[in-house]
Amino acid sequence: MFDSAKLLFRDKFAGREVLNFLKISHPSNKCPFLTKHQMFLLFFFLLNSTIYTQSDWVRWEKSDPTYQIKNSSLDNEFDFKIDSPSDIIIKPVINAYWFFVSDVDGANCPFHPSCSRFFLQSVNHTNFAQGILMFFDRFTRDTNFINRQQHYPYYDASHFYDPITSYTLNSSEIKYIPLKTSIKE
Amino acid sequence: MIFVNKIFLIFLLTISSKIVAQNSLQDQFDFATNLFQQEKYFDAITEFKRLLFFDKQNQFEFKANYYIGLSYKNGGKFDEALRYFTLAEIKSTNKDEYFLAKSFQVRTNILRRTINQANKILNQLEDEETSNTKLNEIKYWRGWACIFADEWNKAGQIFSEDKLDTTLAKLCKSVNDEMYSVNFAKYSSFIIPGFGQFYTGEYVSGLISFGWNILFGYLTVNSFVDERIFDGIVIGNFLWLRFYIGNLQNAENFATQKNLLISNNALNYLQNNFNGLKP
Amino acid sequence: MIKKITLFIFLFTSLILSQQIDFNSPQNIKLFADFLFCNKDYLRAIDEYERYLKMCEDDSIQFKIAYGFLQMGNYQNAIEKFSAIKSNSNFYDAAGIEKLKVFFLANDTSSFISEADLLLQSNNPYNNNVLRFKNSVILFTKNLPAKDILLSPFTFEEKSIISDFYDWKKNPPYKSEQIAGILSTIIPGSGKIYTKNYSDGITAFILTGLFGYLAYSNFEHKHSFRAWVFTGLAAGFYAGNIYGSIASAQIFNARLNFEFDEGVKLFLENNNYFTPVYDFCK
Repeated sequence: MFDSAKLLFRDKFAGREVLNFLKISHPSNKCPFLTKHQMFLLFFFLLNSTIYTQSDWVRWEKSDPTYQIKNSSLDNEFDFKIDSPSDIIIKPVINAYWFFVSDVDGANCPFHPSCSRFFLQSVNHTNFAQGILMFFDRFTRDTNFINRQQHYPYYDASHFYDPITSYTLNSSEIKYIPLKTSIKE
Repeated sequence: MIFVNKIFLIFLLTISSKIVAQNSLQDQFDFATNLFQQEKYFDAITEFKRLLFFDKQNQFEFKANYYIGLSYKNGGKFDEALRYFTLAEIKSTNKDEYFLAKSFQVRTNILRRTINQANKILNQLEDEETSNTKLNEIKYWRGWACIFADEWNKAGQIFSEDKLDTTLAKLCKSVNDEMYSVNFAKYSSFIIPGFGQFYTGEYVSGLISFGWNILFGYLTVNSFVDERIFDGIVIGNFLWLRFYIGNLQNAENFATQKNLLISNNALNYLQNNFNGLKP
Repeated sequence: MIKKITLFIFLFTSLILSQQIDFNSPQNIKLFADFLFCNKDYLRAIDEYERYLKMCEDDSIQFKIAYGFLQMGNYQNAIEKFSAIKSNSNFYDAAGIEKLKVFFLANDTSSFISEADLLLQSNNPYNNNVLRFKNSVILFTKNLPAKDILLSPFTFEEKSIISDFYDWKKNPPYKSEQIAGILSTIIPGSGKIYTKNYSDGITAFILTGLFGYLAYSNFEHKHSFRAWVFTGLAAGFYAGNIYGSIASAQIFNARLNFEFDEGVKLFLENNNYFTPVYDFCK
């Protein structure tokens, strides 16, 4: 329905009218008109000018280039911060999992954040019971490998973006991101 | 006699007005260049654009476009810089100006890491140029293009040829010697899980990988020996294979990561401590 | 004869060259600023226009400054500059509707509505445009007026589209969270299928079924520990599937809302937000 709206309105000019009064000078304007010579110059340069300078819409200063290559690897960083009672149980287990299993069993998770980080974030964001439910749901979706690109936007070349905010059952937290777009940079 | 004097007077007037007009443009150019030298690049661009706008005779067309390009380049706006260096190339009036504009296109492309584009321009310049100093400069930027493409070995060869730049040659060679072989890391782990990790100095990860592979390998083989085929397939598929592939990925990743660190270290040195000509 | 020709040439070249360029004269500043403006180099153009305004008064320049800020997405300055345009200016009416556009683009709906109401009370020649703009924006809000009131200012072709939007908003084809949850409670995964996540639904069914079966078969064979582990996992997948179905319905609805909002935005964009088109660079 909305695609057809797009087509319908591409060539339409409803509500558009070209303002001609720009050429009429207001009585309070106190500058003399242009000379013919200046008009010619203006015309000439308008013809020649097709340069589009969006990068100059904000003042910028000198900036030294960085020679270094950007490091874009995704690493699990161990998380020892204890913010809630449940962290005392969960964090050591997850840290141990990251250290002994996750770091050495290859890149298996198609999502960002990874399943273990998703679990940690959901417990922190909601509560332990809801976090477990969210984790089981995530694991189910993780097992399903069909048509992921039709359900999730991209995070980077090899990961889909699947944040916890879509699954807290608080619909005001859901930020819908169109499919086939990448949210990273 | 009076008539002749009149002509002479008009002549004098026109000549002097021409000089004055030129002077005001020259003043504007000096003003803009002064801003450029004070590193006020945004304002310098405005003034150069103003100069271009009023320079009806196109006397400053090359210089102004060239300086606008330089200003954008120094502000890290490489796309814009390239656009103006190309304009400068079009407006160049002699071979030197042409070469200057082209060489800055190369340098901007190197910084922007569009190395293919840089090499394309270098190839074109190499075909056109005959003078030795310019050919040497072309070669020099070729070397830098290789550095930014992370091809230190090739860069080293270019810089050592005809002693083009001995400092850079030495640096490239040492970086190249320091690099880990990604293929060796990967294929050694292929044979002995964890070996590639040991080779890149990641001993703990190597040990854990080795441990898991031994454990699950043993369990898989054991299941098959005991004729528990289903268990064997499940453990082999979901556990052993998983950790075996993880071991290969890690070996490769560690080598690439270590190499990246080495590259970045050298690039950092080049950016901050190297005093020669930089892109 | 030759003398005359040389004289002519000298005079002619001098005509072109003899002007000593005063880069800081108001005309030249304005000329250069116009050039920058038409190249969309708005920030530089605005700086030049501001210099010009210090020397001359010109409401068209004030308008162009505000318009430049709007084009650059600098909404705060745009509002400030549009508001500064005096009521006796030719640009006062246009500035009014441009202000609406700024409020809309800055997502400030409450300011938009109050400003639109103010404009509608005045004698603005663009009042029909303002009304159409306002009625389109009302589609984003929750309190819709009666359909014929909302549709009345639009042209015939616009009416059919706005009417579609209106009907959608009145009866959005949402998927119910409750139905999704109940369906999944009865048959695992069916709630996800209801929200059109077919493969996720099937996966949820298989996983719950598989672990349920494993638990059952282990109880049968008296492997009590393993049986309880599988029971726990099966219960987890079952509960997670109900939870996930509700979440899935919410995401489905969020997607519908998003597409509706984008559709209305596209409609407005294609109509240039019912603002006039200015020809600054003819």
